[in-house]
Amino acid sequence: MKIFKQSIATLLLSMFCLSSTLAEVVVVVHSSININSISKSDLGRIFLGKSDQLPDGTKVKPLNQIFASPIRTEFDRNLLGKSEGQMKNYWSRQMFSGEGTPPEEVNGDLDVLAKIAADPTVIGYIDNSAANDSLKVLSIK
Amino acid sequence: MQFNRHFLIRLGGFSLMYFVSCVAQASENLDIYGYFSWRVEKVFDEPSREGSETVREDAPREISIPSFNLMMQSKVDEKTKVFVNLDGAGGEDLSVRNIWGEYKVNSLLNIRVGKTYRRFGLYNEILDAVPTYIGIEPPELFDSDHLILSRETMALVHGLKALGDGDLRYSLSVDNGEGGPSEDDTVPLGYDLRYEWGLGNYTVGMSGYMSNGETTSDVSVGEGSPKTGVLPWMAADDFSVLGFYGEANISNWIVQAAYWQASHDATRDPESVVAVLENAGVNEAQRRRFLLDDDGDATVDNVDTNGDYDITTWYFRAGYSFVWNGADMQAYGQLDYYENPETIQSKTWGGDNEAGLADDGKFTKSTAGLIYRPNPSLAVKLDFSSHSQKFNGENESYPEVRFDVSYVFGH
Repeated sequence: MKIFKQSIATLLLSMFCLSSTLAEVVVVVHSSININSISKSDLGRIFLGKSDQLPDGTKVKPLNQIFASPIRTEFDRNLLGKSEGQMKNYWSRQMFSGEGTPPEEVNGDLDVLAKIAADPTVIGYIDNSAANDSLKVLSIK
Repeated sequence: MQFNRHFLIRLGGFSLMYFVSCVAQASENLDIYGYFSWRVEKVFDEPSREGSETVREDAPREISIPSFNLMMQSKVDEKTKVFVNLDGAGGEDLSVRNIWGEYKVNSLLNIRVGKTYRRFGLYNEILDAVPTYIGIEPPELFDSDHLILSRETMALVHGLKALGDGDLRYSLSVDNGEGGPSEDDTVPLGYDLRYEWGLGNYTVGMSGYMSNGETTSDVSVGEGSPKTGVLPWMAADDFSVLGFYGEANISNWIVQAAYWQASHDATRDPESVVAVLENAGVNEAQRRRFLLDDDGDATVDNVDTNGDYDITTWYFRAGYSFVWNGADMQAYGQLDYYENPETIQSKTWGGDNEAGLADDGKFTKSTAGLIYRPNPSLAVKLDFSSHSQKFNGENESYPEVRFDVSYVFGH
């Protein structure tokens, strides 16, 4: 019974630790941007370099977090539907054929916030816990 | 469709001047990157004839001098970008693979001028992404000693239209043609239409090419294999290529398939054919194709000038990515088929060592390989291929091993 209780406690602790490391990614833009939501498809086109416009025609520049960071992996998987390897292959094809270069990368949520504050045309993503009133969180349709 | 060749040459000249001015302006937004690569390859037990007998011999091991590709890409402004791709193959010569500028009118219309790879199937534009992509070996239609068409073009328009869950993309290209000037002074047309959905995880498409009249090879007999789709012993060749392809990225898998056919309405040059017959060591089937009376001598009068033929090729490729000890690994398998009844074996005389070796110009190549990437910049690849064809009346196969190391820099 003691072993069983220890196992349950370990399992719960593991689940807590796991949930605390999983990022809840939110897409953010400058508060002056007019739209409140974006589809995964439109978001994907922007972050894959196929479009530089929001659905209302506003020009934007995508901002990535560094490759293989947990939040980048989460964003790529859940919002773009691509694994790390697929993203690597995609940008290799784009770069080596001259079709484009990957978005600028920054290291962490604070850098994303700073970039958006300095340039209202930047669209990025952060952990929900880092969101504040100086920017707008876009809901995903 | 007829174009004036001189107009295109002038267009190319203006384009070059435009690139230079663009590059000068663009230094602030310049991305520079590329890769080094090095290869060792060895073919074992390659069959050849000694009289009527088949003998086997290992080909000499080939170790390449490390080569590099240096690429520069720059966004001059919101609508204009330039791209330069320099190739230092063999570590000795530097050649310009690509130099082009592109102006984006809107997403539906982008105009590119300069030396650019045509959009054609899944591979033509990305063969210089050698270190980073599975399918590292070019498909047979773009293998350098038996190209099904020229890889490069001079002017290209392309665009994209969001359609449903995906994007419909097109491209049209024109250039100076395959080889030297032809009497008709025609300009070919290349085209590609593809639909990508699932944010690029799925692609289906078709590509084609029309020479739009008679054209010639870029090399003469005895000067090596052509860099175009026209064999050097043809006096004239009016040809077209059409193919279909698809790709799916599902979880860790990537699967690709493609099918191509080239139809040549060609006329052989009798003197060139005689030179080939006297020097290139053709097999009996090839000799029969070239001569009106195959029991007769190889003379100009005995050459069959009707050189019509078709090339068929297809491939199926699959790769699986996984992580092992913290490193990215990709295992892949490929099956390629190629059929060209007109070619010969000797590369020196314009042939193809694979299809030209076979009695009937047909061969298959099955490949299995593994890529190891300890970090995103370094790739080490080992793969094995087995070539199978009918040779000297028997079904024969021989193996080939390739080992590659490549290092990406700048990104």
